[in-house]
Amino acid sequence: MGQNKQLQLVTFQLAGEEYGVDILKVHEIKRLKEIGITYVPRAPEFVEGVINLRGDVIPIIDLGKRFGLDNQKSDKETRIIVVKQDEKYIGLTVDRVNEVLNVEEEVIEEPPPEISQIDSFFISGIANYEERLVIVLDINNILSPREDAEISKSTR
Amino acid sequence: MSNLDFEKFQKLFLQEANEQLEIMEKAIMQLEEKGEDREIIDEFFRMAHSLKGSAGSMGYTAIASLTHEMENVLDKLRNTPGILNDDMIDLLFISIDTLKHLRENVEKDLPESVNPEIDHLLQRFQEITSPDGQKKQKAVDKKLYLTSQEFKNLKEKDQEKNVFLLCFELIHQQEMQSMVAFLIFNNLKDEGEIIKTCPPHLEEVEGDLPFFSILICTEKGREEIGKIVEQALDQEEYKIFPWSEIEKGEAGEYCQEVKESFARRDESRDSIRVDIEKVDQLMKLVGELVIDKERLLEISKGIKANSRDNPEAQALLQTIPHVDFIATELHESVMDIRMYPVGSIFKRFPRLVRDISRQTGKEVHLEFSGEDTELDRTILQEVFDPLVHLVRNAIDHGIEQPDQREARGKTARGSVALNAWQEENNIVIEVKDDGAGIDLEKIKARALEKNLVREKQAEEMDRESILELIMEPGFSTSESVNDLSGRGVGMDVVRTNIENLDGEVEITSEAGMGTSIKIVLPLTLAIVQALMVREKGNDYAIPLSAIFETMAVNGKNESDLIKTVKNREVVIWREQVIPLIRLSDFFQMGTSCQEGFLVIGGVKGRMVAIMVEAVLGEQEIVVKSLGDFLGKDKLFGEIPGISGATIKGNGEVALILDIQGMLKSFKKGGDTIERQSISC
Repeated sequence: MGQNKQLQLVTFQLAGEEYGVDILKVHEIKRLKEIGITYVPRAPEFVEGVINLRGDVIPIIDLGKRFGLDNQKSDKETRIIVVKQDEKYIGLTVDRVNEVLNVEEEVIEEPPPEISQIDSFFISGIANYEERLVIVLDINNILSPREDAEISKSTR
Repeated sequence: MSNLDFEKFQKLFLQEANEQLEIMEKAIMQLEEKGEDREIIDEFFRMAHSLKGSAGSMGYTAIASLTHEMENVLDKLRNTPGILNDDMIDLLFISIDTLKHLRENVEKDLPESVNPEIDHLLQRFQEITSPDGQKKQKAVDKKLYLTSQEFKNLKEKDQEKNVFLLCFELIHQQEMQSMVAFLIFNNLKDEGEIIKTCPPHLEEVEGDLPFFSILICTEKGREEIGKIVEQALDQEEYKIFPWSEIEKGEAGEYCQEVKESFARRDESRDSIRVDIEKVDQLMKLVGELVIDKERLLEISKGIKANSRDNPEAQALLQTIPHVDFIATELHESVMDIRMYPVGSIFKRFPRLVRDISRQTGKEVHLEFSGEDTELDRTILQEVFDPLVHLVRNAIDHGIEQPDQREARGKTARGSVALNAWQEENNIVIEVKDDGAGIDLEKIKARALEKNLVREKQAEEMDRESILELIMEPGFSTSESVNDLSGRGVGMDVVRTNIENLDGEVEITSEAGMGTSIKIVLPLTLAIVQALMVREKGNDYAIPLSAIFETMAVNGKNESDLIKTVKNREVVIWREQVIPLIRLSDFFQMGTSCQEGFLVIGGVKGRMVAIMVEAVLGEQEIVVKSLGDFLGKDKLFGEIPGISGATIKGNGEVALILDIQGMLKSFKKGGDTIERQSISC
């Protein structure tokens, strides 16, 4: 058992479900209220705007909208998780950040197709941990161009 | 020379060799074009000579001997006019190619191999230079080349010790020449410091060696050295020059100071090589500095009002303008480091044009203008391949065969021009030919055939859009696929490459008259002056270079300024009718304000008036991209009317308006009121 690979997940709340991302993908977590987001007109609907991250301009996306979830407005619990993939940074808004969870890799199972309200393309697995179900997100797929066509359609 | 010195000189050598080869290549081309011309031959000779000199002093024998033979041919050309022929031209071209190859070997640290190819070349040269064909003996370069620095060092050494140059001509002794040389070298080695030999690495040379020389610094006198030499030599002749004679130039046949090759850089450019990443890092830091500077200026405005009695605050207020000045200067200097003249890539074209015109049997004259126009180095490198493609196209598809041209009443020889100039914040590079022009009907037919457009679409297309079709992927009008162009990966690649640089490609063409293709590139002024405006609580920056005027709009003058034509709002400005864009409408942010400001702007002669709520003032901004996700060909797509972002003094982001993009996007929206005139 001790030989198993440990995985650290940053877990957060979004539209009533618990999600997790690999901590190695997380660059930093910010309070929404602390930073001024600049609105970008005529961008896809889920793009909240852009922020200044130490001199670089990075986009913030509303994860709920990106997943097509019906989500409430932001409040003081709202956080921005800045994730990085291939040296590219992007901020994701979530309802609340919960904790960092240590799980063994083997507790993560293949996602059953109907487990969540969101597209299984965005999910890399389900962590079944002490009777909690944490949906582990695939950051790479969230930031990849599969839905390009759909995105541009919805904005025009 | 220490290793470090050697590396330094090697770099210098490589740089210079590059320039010299380019000049020589150009000279051959001019010779081919104009025939024998004393000035060109002289220039050519000078270049070959200084290349020979520096190659010799660095020990690159193959380069030195090849340039030596070139010198001989050129010298012959000077002395006996009328002997220039195609063979010679070809031979000179091949030599240049070989020299380039040898130079590359040096650059890659490969051994400078004396391969059969070079031997063959040398032989061909000698056949030309000795018409009787009798003297097939290899000409030997007897000179020992000393750089100015070496020359200076030797002069100092001669103060304390003796510097001698020993020159040996083994006329009688035909066998074991290298053995003799080795013995003398070995004996002398014990008597002092051997500074240089000709040929270099004398001790390792094998076989025939009819001539060699040794430069030595020793405590011994002339006679003693003579005795040592005579131990190995019987009746052979040798000459011995003390430093005083060398300095006076009496040993000129055997020793030369290669001042010109190294000293030349003083006149042209003293340069160091710096990793481009370091410059980028510097640029980024300067960007940060400019943001902070703007912040300081903002803070100082606040301090000014209530600090008349505070000497420290007054001192601060005096310092801030200076920081402002320094930061601006610093920015300009860093920008300048990255700039490079367009001519540096133009220089590579004459040869290309010559080769293509030979292959195609067309006669082409290449012209340049605006070689001094400067462009960011990185952009310049990226733009070379597209330009090559355009020039190929111009010759291959544009310029007609000589007989066709004459039949059309043109000169048999076609012309291709490479022009460059600056236009506001853009650099334009144009490839222009006087060929057949682009046949619009042919393009339409081709596009239909390739299913790039529908028939109905094609009928409605204007000239400009039809020409743009040739940049669609999969479009190629070439009837025969050949070596040069027409593989179907043509103009679309050019367009993609240029657009990746935030540039644009514009095509104009007239049947029978020729084609002009313009590459319009940004100057990459990463820091620009901008006007800050506000709309619906958001701040936007508009580059000042695109702005002509701002005007306040209020209830009183609104009806005078803003009119409605065909259901579109326009502004009458200096008797021009220009379309009005209300920023809120354009960005779909709700209803536009009725009072505010009109920003009159324009790019490339197309004007627009933009209505905003408030004008905040001018400021320097650092231009940044919208990141890795927003923008053309990025995951979340292009944002119409936004070209980038900047960071304001308070750390928040402001978007930069792209007037050209707005005009484009606006036009697509169905507006075509440009250039309409109404009387009022």
